Amino acid sequence: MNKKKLFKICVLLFLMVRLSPSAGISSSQDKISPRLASLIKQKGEHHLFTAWIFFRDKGRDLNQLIETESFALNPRTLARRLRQGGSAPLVDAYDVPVKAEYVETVGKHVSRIRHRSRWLNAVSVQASGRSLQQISGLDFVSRIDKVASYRFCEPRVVSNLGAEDSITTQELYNFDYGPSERQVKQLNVPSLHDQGYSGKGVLICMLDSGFENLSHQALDHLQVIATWDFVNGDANVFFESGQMGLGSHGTNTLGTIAGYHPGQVIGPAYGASFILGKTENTVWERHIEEDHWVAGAEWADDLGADIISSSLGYLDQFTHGEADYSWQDMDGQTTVVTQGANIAAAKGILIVNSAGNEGTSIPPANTLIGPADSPYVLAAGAVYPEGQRVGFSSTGPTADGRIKPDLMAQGIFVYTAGMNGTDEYIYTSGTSFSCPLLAGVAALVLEANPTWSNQDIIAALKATAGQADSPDSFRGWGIADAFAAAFFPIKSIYPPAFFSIDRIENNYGFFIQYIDHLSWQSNPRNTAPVTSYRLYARLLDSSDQSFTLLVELSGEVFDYERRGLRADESYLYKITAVNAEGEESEPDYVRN
Amino acid sequence: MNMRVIKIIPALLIWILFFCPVLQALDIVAGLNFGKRWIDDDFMQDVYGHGYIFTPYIRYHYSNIMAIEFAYEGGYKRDGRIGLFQEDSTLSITGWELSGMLYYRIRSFVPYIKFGVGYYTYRQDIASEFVRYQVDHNEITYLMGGGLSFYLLSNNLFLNAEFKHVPLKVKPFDIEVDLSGIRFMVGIGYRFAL
Repeated sequence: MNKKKLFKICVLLFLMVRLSPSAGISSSQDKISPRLASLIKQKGEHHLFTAWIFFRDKGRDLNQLIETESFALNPRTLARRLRQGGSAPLVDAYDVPVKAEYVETVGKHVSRIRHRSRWLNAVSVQASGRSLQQISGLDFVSRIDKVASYRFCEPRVVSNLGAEDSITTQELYNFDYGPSERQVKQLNVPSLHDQGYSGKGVLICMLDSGFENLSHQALDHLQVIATWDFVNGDANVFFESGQMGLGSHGTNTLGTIAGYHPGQVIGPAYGASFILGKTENTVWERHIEEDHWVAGAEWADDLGADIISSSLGYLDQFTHGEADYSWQDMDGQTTVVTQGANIAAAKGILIVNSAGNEGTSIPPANTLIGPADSPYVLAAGAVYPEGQRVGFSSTGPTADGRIKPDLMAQGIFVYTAGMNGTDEYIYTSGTSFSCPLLAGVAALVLEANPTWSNQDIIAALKATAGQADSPDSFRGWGIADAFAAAFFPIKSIYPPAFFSIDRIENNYGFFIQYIDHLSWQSNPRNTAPVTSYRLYARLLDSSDQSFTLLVELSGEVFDYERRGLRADESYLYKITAVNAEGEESEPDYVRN
Repeated sequence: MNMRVIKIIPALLIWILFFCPVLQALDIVAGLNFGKRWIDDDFMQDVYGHGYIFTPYIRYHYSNIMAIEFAYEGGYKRDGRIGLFQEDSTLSITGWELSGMLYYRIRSFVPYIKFGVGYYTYRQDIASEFVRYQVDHNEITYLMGGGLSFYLLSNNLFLNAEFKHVPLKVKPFDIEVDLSGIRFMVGIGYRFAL
């Protein structure tokens, strides 16, 4: 066959494939995720769905758009991002808004556009199955997926009896903490309060259900800078007749972190400023969609928030019985809300999230809730005033082997402001309340160290917590110590990022041995080169608590395989980075 | 294999050999078979495959229809690459067998069936510094088979064809492995008249 003929045949084949109608249909159908496609099949094309529509790009002149955005950056946001240091740019493609023409075109097909997410380069919409199929045919649409549902960690109903009986006597602090003394004393907060720290100058974003009763005597001192209701699309975060969302949970968490009424309640960060985002719909059987959370986090970034305190919880089977994510998806990168949290953390926001109230499971399964699985999010677990873990507090490790929860704080009999009346106080329970306690501690540490990044604060809190030398998947690094963390000497070298583990079976026929594949990434905050990584291991369930140095690898190597492990051998691995001066970073841990 | 069965079979053989009143020693036969051994286990089959074996044996014909056979089965030694890293390994299986036989002579042909017990040794060697298990174990099991001897050349020299099945499921560690398999062998033997 001569070359000319061969060329003609190739062109013909190419045109046949390119112009074939079935080829076009299959590619647009592929854009719809299998779970959404199955839902459309199940409920019909005319049913309304809540879906993410992800776009291929943000337009051609991205660099110019980034430059424009850098001028529009809020000074608080800029200051926070500057604290991050490292080699990452201050403004990047994540800051460029979603392309308006794309949104406009999509808007013609859908019932409602709920949120625009510049971080995810997507819009969340309400649209029929048929419309979604039409949208999938648009060139600029890269993917369409279901908006998953979450719930916040509902307070556990516990008897108040016994709580009052066990109140400790007032110690010699400058403040009278009243019944809230135990919850802050456990975190060594009064020692910092006595030194004048109260979270002043720190901006905290609370993402929760409504914030009713802000005129409460313990809340009326608060400096609330902004409010937004992401569920109903207005600025009213109180209870409003005819609108979705009650307000007791938000009021309770706000009272926990920043309540101030001596003799009753004093929260760790009573001097901080707040922005309040209602991201949860407590009327619809207490379920919320992840797009509200991502929108709330972007709003917090815009306003320059330093810390986000959120008490979200993931639910396997939600209102309509549709499974969204499983525990295997809690790997720090899969769920949309975790992806959003990772971007927020990269922008310098310190996110504290409840670990969840889902109790214990047998490792490697976990009971974590997104975005507590993120490596950059502080997952808050619950302990009793005496320090033992409360049974409902969710456990790790993450699906990729990282230790969670991170830190513990009191999560039972937490004393806080109530919703009914200006002088009502209640005892309540749940990791929802450990979360604002730890977020308040983080605010104090930031106030004491205004140049620290979010990861510096997390590193200091972990390094000084109750079981820092031997973290586990039940109590993480233990109970935080606000005072010790505030004065912790932060190192100039940071541990590698995203340290994770994958256990692989190696079948030899008569027996199976395992391989632990450990991987990590270079930490962008390290401006000086890392000369080596040190990998340590400790056998779990062993009386010997010490770590053995397994290997020291070059700074250019980012994974390591440990072979020949038996099924009954579980290890806790520790990694550190070392710089040219021989300084070793704080460790990061994973377990198999 | 049921331990009770394992105990009964040798006892029965001893009784037939030494105490059965109708017995009368006739002759001794010695021979060597060579053939193929199949492996039932899918995983092992994929790694090591089926193999060849040889079986020297001695049969003691103590009546016109019954005999006792003592045999050795060797030769199955197969190399294969195993595990994620495709490491070199070798699997060998050998065994000692004691069987009772029922046979019947029709002119030059002697068809027979046999049933017995075997003591098998299986060993896996893997060329890897990471392997922490040593597979070198023994297992007792029963066996059954049948065959045909054909006295073609003379009254004493014969050709032999035999099949045999040995159910051999082993579990030295966590995984049960089915080392069972049919054997088909042919060989030559010689009868020594007593």
